[in-house]
Amino acid sequence: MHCTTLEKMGIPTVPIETEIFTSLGKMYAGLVGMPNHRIVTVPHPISRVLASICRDYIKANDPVTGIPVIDEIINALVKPLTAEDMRSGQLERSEPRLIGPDTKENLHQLFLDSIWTDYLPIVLPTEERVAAMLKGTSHEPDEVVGELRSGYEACTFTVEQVAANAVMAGAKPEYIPVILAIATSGVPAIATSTQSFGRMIVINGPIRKEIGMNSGAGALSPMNRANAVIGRVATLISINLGAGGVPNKTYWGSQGNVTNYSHVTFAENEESLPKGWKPFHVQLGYKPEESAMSIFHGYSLFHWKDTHEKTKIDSILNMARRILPSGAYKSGLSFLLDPIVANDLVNEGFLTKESVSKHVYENTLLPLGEFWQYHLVNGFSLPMGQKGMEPYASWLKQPDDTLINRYRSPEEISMLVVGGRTNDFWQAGDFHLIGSFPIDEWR
Amino acid sequence: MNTITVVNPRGQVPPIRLMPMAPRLDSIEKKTIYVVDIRWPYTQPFTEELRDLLSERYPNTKFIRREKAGPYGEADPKLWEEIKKEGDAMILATGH
Repeated sequence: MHCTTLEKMGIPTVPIETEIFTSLGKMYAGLVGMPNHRIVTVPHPISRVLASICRDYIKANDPVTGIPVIDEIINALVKPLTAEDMRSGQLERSEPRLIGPDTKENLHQLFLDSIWTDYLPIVLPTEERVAAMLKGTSHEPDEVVGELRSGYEACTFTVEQVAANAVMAGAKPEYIPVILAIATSGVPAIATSTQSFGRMIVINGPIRKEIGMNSGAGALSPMNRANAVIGRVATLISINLGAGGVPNKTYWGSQGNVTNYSHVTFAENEESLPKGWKPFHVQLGYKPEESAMSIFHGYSLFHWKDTHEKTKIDSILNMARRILPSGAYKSGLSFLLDPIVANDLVNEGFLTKESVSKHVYENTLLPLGEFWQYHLVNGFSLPMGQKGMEPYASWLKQPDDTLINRYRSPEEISMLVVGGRTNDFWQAGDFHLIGSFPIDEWR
Repeated sequence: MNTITVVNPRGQVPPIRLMPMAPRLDSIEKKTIYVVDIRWPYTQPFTEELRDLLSERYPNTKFIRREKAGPYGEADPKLWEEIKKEGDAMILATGH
């Protein structure tokens, strides 16, 4: 994207990419309207590689074209442009509203071959099924309701297209307000990043009960239709409405993430909250009678059940000290507590969720010298500080043994209550809230 | 044979606006070329070696290595303006 900016300014550019991203470079150049941009390739990776090895890469041939790297760089800057290189104008691309007619078998194969599925069986979105799904919302089918970028292009979409994905996943019409809230949030469940992150989707308010979501025993397992299907739709939406999710094309997560199957989708167990502990959406300013969808960014959950600490808060602190510091780009902390654990914390003196978050925030310090060593801190926080952004700019002036808060604020430490009171189990992960979105307007 | 029609589940991709590439240089002789490190973590050795090797091979061309300000995806308008004013071309190492 930076090369495009400079080319527009009249400056010839040549991007150097590593071998693994060859197809990405060519595809991206095409999407930004410069399909013949001259890209030079070197072996992968160049991050954390010794200078001597970098030198060998540069002195060698481009692994894609076989031309010496340096010759190719210079050629890219001096070789005269062709008529094709100087083309302007606009290429329209349109999606038909309907596909077919064809046999069910052929359509199933088309969806698989086109990578329009998550490879689990789908329900074909016939017009009749989509029409039935649309009965779950008052919105018109042809209303353009959002824009989503899971890959490298922001796609627009209608209510009907959201409903088609809902049908594919096995949704019931009453789920569609929640699914529309997810689709229109603008937050893709999967994205292009080389980091294999996932999402967590938490539903609060009356709609949980209305559509039969599970917030008790087995809430995080595939044991409830609404929980399972709503999470699944989030992936299909990213693939189909956001033009993403194709490995080595629009998805580059090195390992992928198992949470992408259902995005840790559950309802908070509001009925089992201890007195004084607010539902998550109420903490964010919603009224209890409103319904909301909260979506988080993170990588994984792990449990901290079998530990030696005498109190729940000590156990929580022990775990919280092992998470990536949130001074880095997009990190945070979420606790998923069984109601028993929430009550234990109340008995330990934590009368609100906020008091637990504050205690964790204040008691998980780390030295700056350690902070600056984290990979994401080096890639994001450090350059922000070098640009003058606080608090990183001030931290850069302080000695390495200065203690800082591991998390940016108590609000970044989320407390969610879920579970069926069969065990004082809890788990946590590096999920941080991206945003919370109203559901009721999609009824 | 029974056939059915289904609703397309795909969103509408935007149009592609074709953009002419910038005019190329007649040669790099006596030109100033910026070697820009996109600021992906720990790629500094690569761009330093690139600058050095280019300078060795083309002594009559000035190669200036710069690190783009901010995280890798963020634009650096100040640097772009500097390149526009002081430079003739840019080589960008995209990292990873």
